[in-house]
Amino acid sequence: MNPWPLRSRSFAAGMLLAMLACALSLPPARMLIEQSMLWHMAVQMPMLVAAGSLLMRSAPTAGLLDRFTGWNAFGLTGFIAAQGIIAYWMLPLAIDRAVVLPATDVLKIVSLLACGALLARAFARSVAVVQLFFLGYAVSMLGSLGLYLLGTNRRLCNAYSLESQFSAGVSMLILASALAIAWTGFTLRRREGSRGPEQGAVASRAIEVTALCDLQRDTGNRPASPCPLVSVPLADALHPRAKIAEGVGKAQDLRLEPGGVDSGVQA
Amino acid sequence: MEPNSLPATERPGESAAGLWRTFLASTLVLAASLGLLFAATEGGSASTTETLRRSAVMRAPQPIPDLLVIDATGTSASLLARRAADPRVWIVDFVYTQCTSVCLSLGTVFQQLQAEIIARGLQDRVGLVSVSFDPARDDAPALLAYASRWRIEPRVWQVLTLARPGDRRRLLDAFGIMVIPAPLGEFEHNAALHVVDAAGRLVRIVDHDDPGRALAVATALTR
Repeated sequence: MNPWPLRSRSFAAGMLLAMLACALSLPPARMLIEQSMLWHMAVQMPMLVAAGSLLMRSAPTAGLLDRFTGWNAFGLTGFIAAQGIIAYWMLPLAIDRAVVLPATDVLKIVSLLACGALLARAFARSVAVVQLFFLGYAVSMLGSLGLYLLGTNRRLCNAYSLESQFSAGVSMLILASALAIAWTGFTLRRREGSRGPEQGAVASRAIEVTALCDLQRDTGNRPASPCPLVSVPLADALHPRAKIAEGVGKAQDLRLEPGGVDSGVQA
Repeated sequence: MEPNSLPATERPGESAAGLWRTFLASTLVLAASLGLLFAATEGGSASTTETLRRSAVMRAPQPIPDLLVIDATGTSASLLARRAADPRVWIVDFVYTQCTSVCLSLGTVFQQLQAEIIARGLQDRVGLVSVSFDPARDDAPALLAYASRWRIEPRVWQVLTLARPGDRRRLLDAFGIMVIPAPLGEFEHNAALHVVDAAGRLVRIVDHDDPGRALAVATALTR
């Protein structure tokens, strides 16, 4: 599959979203985010994160960025940084400042674009469990903020009216649910797509064999015959489809039948 | 989110060295995030502009600005001159006389305070000041109407507005009031009770539904 069309589509969508989101910070559209907490928190901010994410996905994966991947195993560093940025922009005082001070508004745009970029990178590098942990945390943060905004009679932002705060609360809840549903759907679909019932069995055998082979290599216990396999590190085998598919492909090339692993290694 | 777009050949992140570097980087990033949040919220105590404003005033009293104001009789004078001529501690609120929303409760609160001050004989120690931030509509007759609507006793409670509408920004900034226009010519703003000492310094900001505390703070200052 040629990666270019997807990449340029990501780039175009990311640029478009980024420009629309920036336009919301400039007159005349600025009126919308100045008067409505919903437009500010539930439209502009998510747009910036999505734009950053799309732009990062369109960036070439090799090169400068890869220098930093050693500092970002399983996307952990990226997730934590993104979480910090999101937590800051949930503070009512930060929201007020972004409305009143243009410099803070610029900081908001830059940091939320960066947040999206970090998330794109982190999601691409992480297994589902890690994703679930951070997504679950973000969803519960958004959800409880939404409930609080809905329930309180106290104006939290000096910049917004109580009614505006209420509708922002509703939209936070919708956003939280949408994120949870989207991630679950996406993850389930990917799992489904990556292994059918038969393929799954073969893939798990292939992974076992690989692990065994790696173990033997690491401990110096070389198998009698040259280890024929597929070098799929376990961490890769746990998640990315490409690697599993690759492993399955090679395992099948070796006519490695499900259940026939032992003969495969020892032959 | 598409794992297929990973660099296929090398994944340095998952090597042993990568895990250590990631551990180091994540810890630093986590510490930096928590530090930032801690600093932004004054150690977790303030998440809104309002709480931040109140704790800043409590820590360091702020001088009130010298602006030309007019009262309900149409007399104009500088705010600081009025302050200097009055030995009492002031409790100040910000209103606009056309208000039909939150300043109505501010009016009620001031009315209660006025009754309390007279009942306790505190009128020589504590004074009430309502300042209009809507000088375009609030002239002396409007202030007079407001005064009669709330049955204001001039010896306790005075109503002021800006003589120069251009000073509005300075007034609001000095007290940390944010006014946002609302439908039907209304305004929405952070309503509170501001205690200003005889030296002309804003020393405390109290919730508008806690007038007892405002009065306690004010009387404590006069001892």
